[in-house]
Amino acid sequence: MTMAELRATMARHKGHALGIALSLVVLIASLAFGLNARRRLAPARLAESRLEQAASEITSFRAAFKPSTPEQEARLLLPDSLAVAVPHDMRMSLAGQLATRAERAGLIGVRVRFAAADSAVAPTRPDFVDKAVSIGDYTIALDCGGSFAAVMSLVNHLPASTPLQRLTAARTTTGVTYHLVFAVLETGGSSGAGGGAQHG
Amino acid sequence: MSGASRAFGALIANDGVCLVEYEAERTGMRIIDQWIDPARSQSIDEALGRLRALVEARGAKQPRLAIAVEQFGVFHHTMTLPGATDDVLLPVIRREVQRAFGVADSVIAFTRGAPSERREASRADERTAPRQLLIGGAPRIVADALASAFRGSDIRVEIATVVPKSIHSLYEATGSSLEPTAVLVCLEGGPHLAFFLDGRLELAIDPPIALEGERHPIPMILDQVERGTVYFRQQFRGAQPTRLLLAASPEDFEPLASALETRLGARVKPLFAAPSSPAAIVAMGAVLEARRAAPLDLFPHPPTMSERMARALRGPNAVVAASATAAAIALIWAASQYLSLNAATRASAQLDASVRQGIVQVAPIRSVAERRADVSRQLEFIRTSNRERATLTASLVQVASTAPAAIRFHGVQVVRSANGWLTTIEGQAVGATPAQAVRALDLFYSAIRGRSDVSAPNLDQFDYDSPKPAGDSTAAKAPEPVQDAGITLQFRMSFTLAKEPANSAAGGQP
Repeated sequence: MTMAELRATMARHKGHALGIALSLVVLIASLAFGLNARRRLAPARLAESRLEQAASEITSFRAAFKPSTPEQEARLLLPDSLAVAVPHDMRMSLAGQLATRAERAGLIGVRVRFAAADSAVAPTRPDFVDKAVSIGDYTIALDCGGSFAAVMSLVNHLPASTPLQRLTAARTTTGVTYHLVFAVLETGGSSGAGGGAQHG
Repeated sequence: MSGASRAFGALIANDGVCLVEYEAERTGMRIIDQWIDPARSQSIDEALGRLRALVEARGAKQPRLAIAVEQFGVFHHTMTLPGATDDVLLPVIRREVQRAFGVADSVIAFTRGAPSERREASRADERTAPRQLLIGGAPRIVADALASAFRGSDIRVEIATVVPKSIHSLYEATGSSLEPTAVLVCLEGGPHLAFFLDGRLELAIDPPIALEGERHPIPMILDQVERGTVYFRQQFRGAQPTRLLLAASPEDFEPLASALETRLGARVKPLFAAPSSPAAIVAMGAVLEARRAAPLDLFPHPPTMSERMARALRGPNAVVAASATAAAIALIWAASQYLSLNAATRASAQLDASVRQGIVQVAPIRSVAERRADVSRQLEFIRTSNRERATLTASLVQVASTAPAAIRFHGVQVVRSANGWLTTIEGQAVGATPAQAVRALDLFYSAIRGRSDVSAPNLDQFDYDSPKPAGDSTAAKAPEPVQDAGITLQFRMSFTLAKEPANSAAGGQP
């Protein structure tokens, strides 16, 4: 078909050509528009689904929550003896508590001092929402003499904030000496001693 | 008189309009009533106006109407052509009509008669067998007038056909006898003559030209019939009609019938049994034609939906329709996608606001819940710590208690490790003989190994007592042997104690 014939055909079917051209324009524009909308639809539906889930969780949470009675509120305030971590400023007090407990347990020649962090594996650190607990970058070392049972009693009655790291018993000519090393769980700050071996 | 589905037949001509109301019965049709408007019409529009007035005067709702048109340039023709599709036949017919009638701009309709296969049986093919074509035509202005005359009314025109085709239908209604038959219908406009051979309409002769208002006398009708008979005999190999079916006014019927019998020697019978005017009979012929499967219909019916679709989907229109359909589908799809996106976005915005509001509202109770959770975790941590220490102390006490009397400890070291408590014991085993000392150590080692809370037991060092080097701290701390006489074994063993209490009995002593 020559150009002249094509031109003649186009002139003969001018209305048809116009209709086809218009349809093609609408088709292409619709496809572009629709594909663009479809591409944006999947993320929008995902976001909608996540928000629905969040809304559902909030609703469930509100439905499941039961307000505390005053007695229950009071029970939420634990005594200091049940503290699992102490502020760094309280370390002397803590050392004093350990010495007192050792003496009460019947141990003799009790010596308490602060030492560098121990090389043993760090104890498990509790995880709380409203306060950060870290492991102190020091240890409390306790040397004493006495019976094995007294040492065991001391270990059994230690505060939760001083997990045992190391226990050494050695028989000497004068009796048995004990050397105990405690890690300290502290509130606030971050010592960076969350786990790994530390040099003692 | 009014009814839901009343039906009418009509004949329109220059010299009058005849309307017939009929009723379909089990055995055929029955004429209920007939009306004639004898006034002359100067044009087809005027005649159709009179017909419409006659029908509307009946007060019928959506009446059905079959029309036979006489005069106004309407013509009839027969041809025999090989079987073919309409689009092949129509140009041939149009050329033939133009040649025979000299009408350039006409509306043509045709219908097929029975095939007349003259080829041998081996070559016979019904699709291409020659067929008689019954053709009707009218000037375009007549077709346009038919279309516009009933526009805006509730009259449903079933058909507009020509008089010879109405006569054909009437003839078939009499039984389509194969006997050569002439049919004579004496209308106001003149006698219409048709000849049937082997049941086929072979020849239709229009009335001779007459002056306006002039009635055709019986002798002239007889001459017309005689001339037609001669022509029929010449055209169809000496065929002679032996029967004549007559439709004439009651006053003309008897004299005309007897004159025809005398002149032609043929039996004359009435075309229509019921006493009716010839115009009413032709109108009923139009009604019968409308009942045929393929009637000869000149009425320009508005195209049906399927016809419109078929026309729209032909040739270049098909391409336009296809592209328009594709565009419409794409447009609908795009709109649905956009609406879905819009709905999802709006729902997300509403949910987001709702969630934010919910978070603000639950903040206080969330704080309480977190405090409760913290206290719970704190108590759990304390319990775990206590359990860990209790387990350690219990294990150490049990280890100490499992040592036989011949075993003495010099030192114990317990260090926290990843798997539990790494425990190292240094001591000595004493016996009167080496065997006794070794047995005591073996008992102790076996007891340690048998414990369920012990893992990785190892006897690191095992040696008989000997003087220690001066720098050895162990030597400095080492106590005196238990017994002055006998054998002393120095040993060091290590193992790991579990942090959690074992399920099995703690004292797994041998």
